[in-house]
Amino acid sequence: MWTIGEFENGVLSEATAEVLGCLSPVQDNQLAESNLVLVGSNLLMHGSVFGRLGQPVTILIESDDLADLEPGIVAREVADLAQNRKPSIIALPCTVWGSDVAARVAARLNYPLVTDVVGLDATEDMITIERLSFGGQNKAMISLPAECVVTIHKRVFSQPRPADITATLERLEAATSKADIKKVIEKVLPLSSEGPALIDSPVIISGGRGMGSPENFKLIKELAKKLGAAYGASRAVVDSGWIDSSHQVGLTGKVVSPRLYIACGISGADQHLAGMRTSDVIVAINRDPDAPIFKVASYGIVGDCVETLTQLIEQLGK
Amino acid sequence: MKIVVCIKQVPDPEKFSAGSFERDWRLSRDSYPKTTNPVDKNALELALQLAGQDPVEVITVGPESAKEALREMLSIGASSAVHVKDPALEGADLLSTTIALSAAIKKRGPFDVIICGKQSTDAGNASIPSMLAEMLGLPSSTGCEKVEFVDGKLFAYQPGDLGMVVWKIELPCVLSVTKNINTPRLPSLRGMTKAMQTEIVMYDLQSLGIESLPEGRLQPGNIISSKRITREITTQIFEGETSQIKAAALLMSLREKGLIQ
Repeated sequence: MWTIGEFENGVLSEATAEVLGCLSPVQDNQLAESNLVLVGSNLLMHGSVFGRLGQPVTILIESDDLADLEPGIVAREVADLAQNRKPSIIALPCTVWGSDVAARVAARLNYPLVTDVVGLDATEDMITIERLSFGGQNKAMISLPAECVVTIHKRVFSQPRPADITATLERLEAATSKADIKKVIEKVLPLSSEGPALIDSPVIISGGRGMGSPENFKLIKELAKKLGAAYGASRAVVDSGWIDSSHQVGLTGKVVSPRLYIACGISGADQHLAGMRTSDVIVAINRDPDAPIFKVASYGIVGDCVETLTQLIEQLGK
Repeated sequence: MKIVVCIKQVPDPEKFSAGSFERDWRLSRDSYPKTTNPVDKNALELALQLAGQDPVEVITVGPESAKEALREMLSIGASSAVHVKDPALEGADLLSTTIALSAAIKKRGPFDVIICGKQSTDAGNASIPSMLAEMLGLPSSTGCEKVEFVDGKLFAYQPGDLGMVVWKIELPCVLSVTKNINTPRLPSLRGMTKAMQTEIVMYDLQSLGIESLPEGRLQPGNIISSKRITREITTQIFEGETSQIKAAALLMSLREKGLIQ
């Protein structure tokens, strides 16, 4: 088994550690050897974490030309090595980068690809995988006999227990040369400072048409600010022009899975539920006691959204 | 600029209902209202903007009904449409679909830019654009929220954790776009008439020179089960005379659970 590591701000990402955590039961049962594979430049500087992650072997594929960690190039390096070594599972985090690399590795090796994995188990000749689809509304169980590429859903698996082993390092030179690079980072624009990003925020406050007016919708933003949360909206609100579509939660908007999701004046159409129902705790605030949103909510307040939000904001201010 | 847009017909996400997952999704798909994958219209809009006066082709891999999606794209502004259909592609996985798609694009090309929607609303893997790029040997950028073509250079804006990454990409290339990139135009009356008259180019696997699909591909038999997730949730409703009392009770519960400070 290979885990392809992703770097974030120059360090191995949490999502990478979660992938190792997902694979560790298979490793513990000694069904497969687990290797961490890293592609990039100056990889030895990460040396201190290799053993702690419990991976007996870390493969480093290095070249100074790989500074951008462009997914297409990383995938080629990984796939070409896999062609010789034949790992049975190649796993990556289900992030923007990990998904791109995984897709290309699968295409290059003619391996089946299973994305958004929330469960993985292996016996000697069979891999069983659980994945989500339809915006988290459906769970499919898939079994495969042989090689596959998988991406692991974020925040489902814990990081592996800290280990204290000496990882064997295998250092390889990348085959990529400058001429192969057809895509480079021109610049990185900083994110706008308007609160945390919807996708990654652990707390999200969302408003629907039940808020009544764009003026009242400002209470959603205000509560979000008080809680350091991101704010979202239903499709109806986006279509009415109260807020831009980057805040839309739902099957045709963003699919989110925070620890806490507070839905205000959102009735809970399936389209919207598909975008947030995997949240850990859902709070519904709605005037209509029969609104479907209450069926997925752990906590509910039946009442006027504007009054309730005004109270929440005021009481949090104390 | 010669552009092709890859599209997919999906079960209508606006008409979701609880009954739809009772059986194997693949089987119930036929009896469900279908639509063009919403973000594919943003892909077409970008194509029409970049192409200028040049024709834009749309292509899909899918069953007979997928023609409806192609005709919709023709009515919006695409010039020609290609439909890849083969019994061996029923229930096709990502690998098989991309093999068929890339073969058709090679046959119809060369294209300067290949544009896809970021992901479908059904399976939602968001993988085909990158797989397609790999099979065609091209660079790609996924999840683009803005694309600029300046002095023969293409810049793709991809949102990431650290900010908006602006990639400079050589042509030809593959792009996938999100809903935020533009507002798709609507079908015109003239377009609808044209859409009905345009002949859709058909390919099966043999005519694309594909003799067999890879052994390792996922087949419907690999899916052991597929079911709607049901969570048993007991909802605690906070009662009280006033909003003040209810709000206080909610905040107390959220604090007890450590969900808020």
